[in-house]
Amino acid sequence: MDYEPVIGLEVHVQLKTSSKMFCGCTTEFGGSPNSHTCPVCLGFPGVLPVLNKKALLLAVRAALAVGCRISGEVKFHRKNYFYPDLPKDYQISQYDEPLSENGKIEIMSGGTAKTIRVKRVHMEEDAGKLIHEEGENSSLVDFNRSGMPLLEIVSEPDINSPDEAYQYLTNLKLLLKYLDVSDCDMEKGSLRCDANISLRPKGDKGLGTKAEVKNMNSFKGVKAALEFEIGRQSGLLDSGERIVQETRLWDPEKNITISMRSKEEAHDYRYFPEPDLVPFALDGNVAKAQKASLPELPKARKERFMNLLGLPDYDAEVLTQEKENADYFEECLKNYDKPKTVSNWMMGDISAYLNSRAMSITAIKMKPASLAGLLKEIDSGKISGKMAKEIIPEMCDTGKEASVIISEKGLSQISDVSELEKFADEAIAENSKTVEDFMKGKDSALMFLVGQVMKKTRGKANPAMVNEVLRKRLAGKK
Amino acid sequence: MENLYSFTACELLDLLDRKSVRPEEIIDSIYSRSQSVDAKIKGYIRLDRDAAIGRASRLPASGRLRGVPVAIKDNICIEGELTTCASRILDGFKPPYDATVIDKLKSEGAVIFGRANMDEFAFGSSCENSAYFPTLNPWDVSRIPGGSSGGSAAVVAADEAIVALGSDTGGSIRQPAALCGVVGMKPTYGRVSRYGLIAFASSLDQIGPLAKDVRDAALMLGVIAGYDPKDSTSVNVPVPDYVSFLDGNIKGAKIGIPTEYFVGGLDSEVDSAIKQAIEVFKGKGARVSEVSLPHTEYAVSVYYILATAEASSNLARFDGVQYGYRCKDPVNVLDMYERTRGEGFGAEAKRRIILGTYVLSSGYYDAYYLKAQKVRRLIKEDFEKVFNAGFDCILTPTSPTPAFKLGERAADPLSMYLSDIFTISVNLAGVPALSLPCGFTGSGLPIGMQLIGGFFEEGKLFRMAHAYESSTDWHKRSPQL
Amino acid sequence: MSIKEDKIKYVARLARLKLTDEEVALFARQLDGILGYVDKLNERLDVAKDAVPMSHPHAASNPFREDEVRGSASSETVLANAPQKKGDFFKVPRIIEE
Repeated sequence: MDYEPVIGLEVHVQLKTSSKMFCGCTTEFGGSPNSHTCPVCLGFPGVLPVLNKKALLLAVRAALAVGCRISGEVKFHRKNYFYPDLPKDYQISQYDEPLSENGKIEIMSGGTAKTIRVKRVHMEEDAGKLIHEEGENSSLVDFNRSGMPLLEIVSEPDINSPDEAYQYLTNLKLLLKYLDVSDCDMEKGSLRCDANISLRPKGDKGLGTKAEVKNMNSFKGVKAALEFEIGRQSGLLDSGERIVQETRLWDPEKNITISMRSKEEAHDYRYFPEPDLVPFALDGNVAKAQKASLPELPKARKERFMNLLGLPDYDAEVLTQEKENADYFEECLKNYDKPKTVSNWMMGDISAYLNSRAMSITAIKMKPASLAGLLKEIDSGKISGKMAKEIIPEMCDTGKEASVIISEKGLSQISDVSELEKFADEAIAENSKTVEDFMKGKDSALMFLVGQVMKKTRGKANPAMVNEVLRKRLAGKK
Repeated sequence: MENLYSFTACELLDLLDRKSVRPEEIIDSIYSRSQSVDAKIKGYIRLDRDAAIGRASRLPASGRLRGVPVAIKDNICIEGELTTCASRILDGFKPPYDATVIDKLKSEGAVIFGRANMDEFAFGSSCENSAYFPTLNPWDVSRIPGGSSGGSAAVVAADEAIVALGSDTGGSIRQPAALCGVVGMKPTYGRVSRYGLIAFASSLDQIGPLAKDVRDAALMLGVIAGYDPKDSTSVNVPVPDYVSFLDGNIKGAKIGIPTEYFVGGLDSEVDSAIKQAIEVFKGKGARVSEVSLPHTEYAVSVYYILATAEASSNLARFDGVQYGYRCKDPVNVLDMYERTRGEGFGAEAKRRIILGTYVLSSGYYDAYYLKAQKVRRLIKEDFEKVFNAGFDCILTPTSPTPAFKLGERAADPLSMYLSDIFTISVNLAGVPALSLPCGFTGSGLPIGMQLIGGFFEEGKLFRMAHAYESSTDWHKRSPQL
Repeated sequence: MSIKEDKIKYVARLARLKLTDEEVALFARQLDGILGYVDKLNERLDVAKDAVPMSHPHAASNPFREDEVRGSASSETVLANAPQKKGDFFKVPRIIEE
């Protein structure tokens, strides 16, 4: 039978603050075990949480950017369960009145736009990390991550293919990075994703029994895990078997999902309002101020690049995929106003430089204004495009201005007409046969002469000017 | 100087000021008093003379409590010192931080002296639920001192402490103060920082002083009160000079007597002591009239739902992972949790954890917790109506009966819970209240009355209490030990 | 075994409390009494129908912390009370599937 997958995603991102959600410990990644902890994030007896203002503002920012309605009051709840990585044996989270609800994220599906509804965006604190000791009858606990500020973004089950899931994640990540809300670095655990997936016969409206899939460590992993689940679940359904509602772990080595096999205890989290935190009033002004400070989001920026700057769809798409690239592009335009030229260089030589070194644009030393300077040198004819290609890696490596490198290397292109006339005359005198051919109307003979002049100037001549000068001199001979 | 232990804090400060005594002498006096009487009272869990003397010799140059020893209830964290909530589960726990109130006491020159016994995790009204031993009432050692701050009240009453800190979630300062014949104040919720107070029920707990008279209580509250950026529930309202309220002038003050508090179950001697106290107030020019707090009858129910629910969550962290007791040779984490907690908590703690977990568990939340929160609002509004009508305070008995016999109510938790019937509403509403001595039974047991004030009106309560105290001498009586 | 004891056992498991059979029986009986008293609340459900649930005595005053790193405790301090540790880790028995 033909099945349609129904997928919902739960994404956790770490908010980009310097200190933890409820205490002054650093959010820096790593550190020796338990070195980024204090009595508050360890939940020692008698300590109390105090909310990090920036964490709340970043959360509001993200919620606004996905079009959520922001609650007027921010209420925290306790989610009660025992686990050794949870220091208080409850997690400060949000429950029936989350920070925000009813947002959306646009994706492209099969060439058409599709809206994935965002059910809720809420804040919660992270737990610590458990390390299971191989061969030992014990586990070790590191609470460095405990109390990191997290944002949980829950989608409605509007996603109908692994590819849509991939797109949703890509767009969400792009958005959050644009907003500077999170680093979204899956390797450092600052973005995590769980998926709920069920199948239903195509055309049906009802929902099947779902499996929850965890432990995906990349977007590609999410896609692969969902693909595996579709295969597994449709196989079961086809053979008349029942899907068990359960949690399954993705094994990235074997490319399969595995049942956690646990006879899962009924979740009874006993949520109740966190008595240690009085609800926070979020008046309209806070939301308004955050809204006003929102940067232009990727979609709007792409459209502007196309409509106002005249970039082709492809260029605009590529440039806005990373906020830093788009920023660099626009910064460069402040000093050089040919958008398509800048785009060509960025997508060409600069992109090649970055790819070969696995760097991001923020890591190169060439400032956007320096790139503008280089492009101006080409326009003025001082150097050729080919010379520019040679200069770019050095500019990126050292941060030197193009003009400095040009003079250091004596690369300056010969654009002085009288000098070029001298070389042109020499070439004409030395190649009478070719001149004759040209006179007879063989236009391609001119290219040979241009080549000769370029040789004499060791490539420093401006080819367009050489062409022009040669034509003039030869016309004089007619 | 003789009998320094029998002085009040204000009297000692005066002597210290005039250099008539040294802080170490006070410590010595109170320590030797404890040595001679605490075997009968068992008010202290831990008492370290040398540590106290050491602290007394390294005091800041000045301070509002410079040289005054203060006994501390065992649920308030002191850096590097055992703090166990009188529970086995906190065996050996030494907090790496001071509670904010301890910070404040230290910087005002108070000498931290002795850890007072309590009901385990402040669960109880008799001090019988301590994992160490029960504390006994200095006025009759066959009786309980009240609880949960029973140790704090008993050591002040027995002159083993000058002043003490307790905590009050449903009457845990006021009820033992009443039963031991001392003054105890439960401040407005948010008036005193809870940072470092090992939580029982976070939305109800407050730290407050127990003292020999109203002046000492006012002085102490002035030191420990104030907004604390480490406690999100503390409130940023300026702290007045509470001692300046003790002017004796209560002419025209309006006192409300809630009809709901004078019903069945009230001991007749308590009833008549309160009636006489009302006459004293009238004699000083106060206007007394009846008021109504119509939702009083629900208070105990609301309290035992909300307080145990919060407690069940607050006590989850005692799990054997990071600190305190861990059971022997657990085979896995689940076994560690269940046995650590099963062995580490006493019966009352288990009972309350079970009750609190039950009322929050799936399917029961709306019927119990949500309902209780709604009625809590009505109870608060009852008080607001009275104070908005211009009343300066509400006068009630603190406890329906004087101190009961050891073991008398231990087997029946509900009867124990009902001994807080007059004090609980105050915590639910968040308003301040104090208890002060207002007489004795025929058999010589202290009786206390409770004065309840509007939000942040502790000053008014001290004024009323001080005016009454100045016209009576109940607070001057001492138990024969 | 009565249903009430079942419920006590379920709740004890949620709260990770090991209870003896005697405790289960005792708590079942006592909770019955306490909840019987508490049910007074539910006998007059209309009393609080429209009241706004109260979680805190005071309204919001937004007591925020600025996003500043204040430094952490030393691992020595953090681990000083640990029942069991290994290096700078807290150590716990193995977690088995429950």
